Amino acid sequence: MDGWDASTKSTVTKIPLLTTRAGPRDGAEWTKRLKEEYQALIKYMEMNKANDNDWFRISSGPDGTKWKGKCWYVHNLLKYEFDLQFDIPVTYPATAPEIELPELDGKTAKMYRGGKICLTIHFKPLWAKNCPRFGVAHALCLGLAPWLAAEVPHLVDTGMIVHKDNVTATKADA
Amino acid sequence: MDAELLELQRLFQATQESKAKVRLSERNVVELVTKLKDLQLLDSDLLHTITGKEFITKERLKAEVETEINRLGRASLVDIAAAVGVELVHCERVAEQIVAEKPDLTFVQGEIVADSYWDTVAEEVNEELQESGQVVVGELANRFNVGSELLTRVLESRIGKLIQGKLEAGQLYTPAHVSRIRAVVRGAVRALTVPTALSAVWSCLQKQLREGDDASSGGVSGEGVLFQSVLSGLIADGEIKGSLRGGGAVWTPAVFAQSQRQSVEAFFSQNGYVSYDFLRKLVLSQPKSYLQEKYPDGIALETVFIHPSLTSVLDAASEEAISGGGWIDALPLVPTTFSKSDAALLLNLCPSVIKGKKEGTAVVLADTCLVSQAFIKAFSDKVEAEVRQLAEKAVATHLSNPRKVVVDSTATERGASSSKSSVTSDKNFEGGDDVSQGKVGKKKRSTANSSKERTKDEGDEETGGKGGKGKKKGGRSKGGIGLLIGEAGNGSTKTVKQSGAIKDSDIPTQEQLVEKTLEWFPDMESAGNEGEDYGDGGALPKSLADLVRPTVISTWAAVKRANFNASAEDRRRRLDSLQQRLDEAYANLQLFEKALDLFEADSPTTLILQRHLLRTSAAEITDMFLKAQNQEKELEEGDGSEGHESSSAAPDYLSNGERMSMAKRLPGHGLSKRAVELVETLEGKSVEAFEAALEAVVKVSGLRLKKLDKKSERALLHAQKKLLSVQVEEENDPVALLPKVVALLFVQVHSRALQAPGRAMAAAVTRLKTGLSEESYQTLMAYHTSTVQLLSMQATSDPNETDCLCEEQINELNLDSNVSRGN
Repeated sequence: MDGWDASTKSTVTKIPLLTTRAGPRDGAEWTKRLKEEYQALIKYMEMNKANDNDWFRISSGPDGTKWKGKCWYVHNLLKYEFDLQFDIPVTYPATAPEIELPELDGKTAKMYRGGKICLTIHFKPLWAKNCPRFGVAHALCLGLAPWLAAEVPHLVDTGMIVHKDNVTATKADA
Repeated sequence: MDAELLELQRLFQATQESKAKVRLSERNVVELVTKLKDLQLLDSDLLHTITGKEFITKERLKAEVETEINRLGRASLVDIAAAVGVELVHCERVAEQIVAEKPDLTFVQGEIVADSYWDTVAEEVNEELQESGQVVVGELANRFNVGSELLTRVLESRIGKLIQGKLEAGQLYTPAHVSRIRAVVRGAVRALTVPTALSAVWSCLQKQLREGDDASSGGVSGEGVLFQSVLSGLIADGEIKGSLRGGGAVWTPAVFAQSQRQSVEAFFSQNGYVSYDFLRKLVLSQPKSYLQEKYPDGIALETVFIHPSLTSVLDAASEEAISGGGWIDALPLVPTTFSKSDAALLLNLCPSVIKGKKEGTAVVLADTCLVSQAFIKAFSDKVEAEVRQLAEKAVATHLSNPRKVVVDSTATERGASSSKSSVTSDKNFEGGDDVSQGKVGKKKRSTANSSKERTKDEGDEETGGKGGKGKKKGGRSKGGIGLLIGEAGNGSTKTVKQSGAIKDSDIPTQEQLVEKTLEWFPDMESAGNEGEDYGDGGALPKSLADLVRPTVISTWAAVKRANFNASAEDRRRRLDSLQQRLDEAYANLQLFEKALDLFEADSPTTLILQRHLLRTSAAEITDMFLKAQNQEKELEEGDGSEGHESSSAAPDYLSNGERMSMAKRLPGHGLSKRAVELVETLEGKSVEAFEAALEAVVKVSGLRLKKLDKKSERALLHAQKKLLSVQVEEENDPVALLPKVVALLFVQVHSRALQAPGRAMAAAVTRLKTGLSEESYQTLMAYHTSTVQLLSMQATSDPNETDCLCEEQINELNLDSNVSRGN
């Protein structure tokens, strides 16, 4: 757990760990797993709210395999918001979900084709080690949150992304 | 779908929907504060703590630092910075402000110290001081961890208030301690009666104190200074009497100074003078300046200091001497402690002396003697008269000894010229001394009567020949230098010099002059300095002698020169005549020798002829030479008159034995040897050998031989011929006539002068045969034969008969000679 900052680490430890080893095709087991996922997510969300650190919204379909939502990052007092989606893979929980930010596809090197963020280096080994205890909440906390904190300021500085207020402003100028 | 799952879904949704608690994260707050600072809504001088978690305003920091200082009384800035958690730079800045605002705070070496802290320190120090009597500030400084200078300053301001004590050279003392030291010092110093180095006193006191209480061994180092200050305090209070000298290092008690002054005063007022030695005995280091300060009207001499009244005695005496044409010596007139230089100085200070010197009526001689010019004049006149008399006497002696006089005169001439050029020069005086040495040497020698050494000396001169003069001169000056170096009376090295120095020996020496002076003025015996260079007598006679000596020498030289010129001429003439005679005789000898060539074929005749020549002409030359040399020598030896007479009375031809003895007696080894050789050749048979020997001996004696040249030979031959013709004409004795006729004929026929003895006559006549007419020859032969007959007859029978026989033949011969003359 070296790659993360202190606050992230402390947050992760507070997210409840999962117990059920089951993929989307495991029927009742999966439901059980899904329930645990939700509980973890609820807990994480509560923690975020309590710390005034709310940074995403997600929801899934009834089978819990497809997840969609939004995430945002505040940089220089400006909020940058991106669409967020990911599928639960068949081999879940052995395989971590691949989180996608379709808006940023092609704008940064730290991303696979199709907008999947690159979490290989730090996140994947940790996930593998903690299988099946880590769930979606952990993936968001350990994967997406650090990624955003690292990439968004960079993208903004290089001008790859522009805040929507400024977009309109530039457009108006044009 | 599981209800539970749905419930969970809903719950999650609800959670997501619920409003987030409004709470600024740390990051947000930092962002906000920065924003506010950017917008200048906050003071820009906002500081943050070392941890970076807190912002702090300057006012707050100041307050915190202040409380910190107040709490501790003395706080290091580093400590404060650590305590308030703000960087040191800010703390420092704030601390400076605080110190500037509050006068009771000081900023010392990175620390802020309140006065109250110093007060507590002072109290603490005082407590300790009262306990132990003395405390070293250095130690305190160490203990309180401040600079000792600072501490000293702090303590100084509190002495008398918080600290009951005295600060002295880095040490604190209690009044009790100080008063104890004061008592000790007072006792010690009061006990001193002679000047004492204070350091010695202090070390002694320190030792005693230390022995007194071992406890206070801590601070002895500064005691000396305390002593010193206590001492000056005591002096200022008048508790002890005296003064500090030598930059406060030596204590001179008043009682000592007083007695010193009193004794000096007493002595000076009693005697009118005081010597510096006396003052030195009283430990006055600079007596001269001391006295000059004390008695401004006194006179400082070299070793004594005198009252002006003291000069009056001397002044009176010198005035009398000047006016009376006499002399005085200052030395007996001044107190005995005066050195001669003092006396000299004093003498020169007398107004009458100054006046006399200025007017030229008096001269100071031998440092301390004043001699009036009148006296000097009288003296020098007297001396001159004496010298003139002496010189005349000496010249008279020399005249009876001409050879010596000649040599003498040359030397005197030299001396005279040098004395002319620089009459008063020192070198001349040296020369005089040299002369005296020479005289002594001569005296010694004459008493020893060793004529051998003497002849050797003379001989050296002779062998030196012409170059010997220069040599003599060199030897003389060398003698002078030798004396300068000062090996007086070292006889062994002198012999060589004396050969040169002996010449002027009769000039009165300095000693003689001195003797004379003392004879005239016996009271001068001890006058003047009695330095070692003046011997046992006083210096005045010597100085006088020196003064008149140039005159003496010139007088002497003048008298001598007048007398000696004649004798020099005499000698030269004699030498010239000898040379001339020698030349003549030698020319004759050579002439005759040439004639011998004609008989070369006839060896017995040649032998006879050579022998004859040696017996006659050669012997004549030898005699002449030997006699002349002998005469010279005798003249030189001083009994010349006798020798002269004897030589003049001697027969024309000396015997060989006489010659030999004369030759052996000749002066100079070389000359004598060669002369002996010469005499020996006379006994030989070869004229050539004789000639060689003659040449050698003549060369040695400084003469020379002239070789016969053609012209002079002819002249000589002519003269010979004339002489012979005259002789032939005048000669009446037929026997004596024969050789002369033969010689004349030889001159005419062979142009050779022949000297032939009777035995060789026959050969000579035969030799003439070729040059004469038959008739003449026959006549000559007949003459010869008859002469031989006559001689043989004469030896046996009566002379009358022969006479007539001869008469006849002579007539014939006359005719014959006339014939030959006609040729």
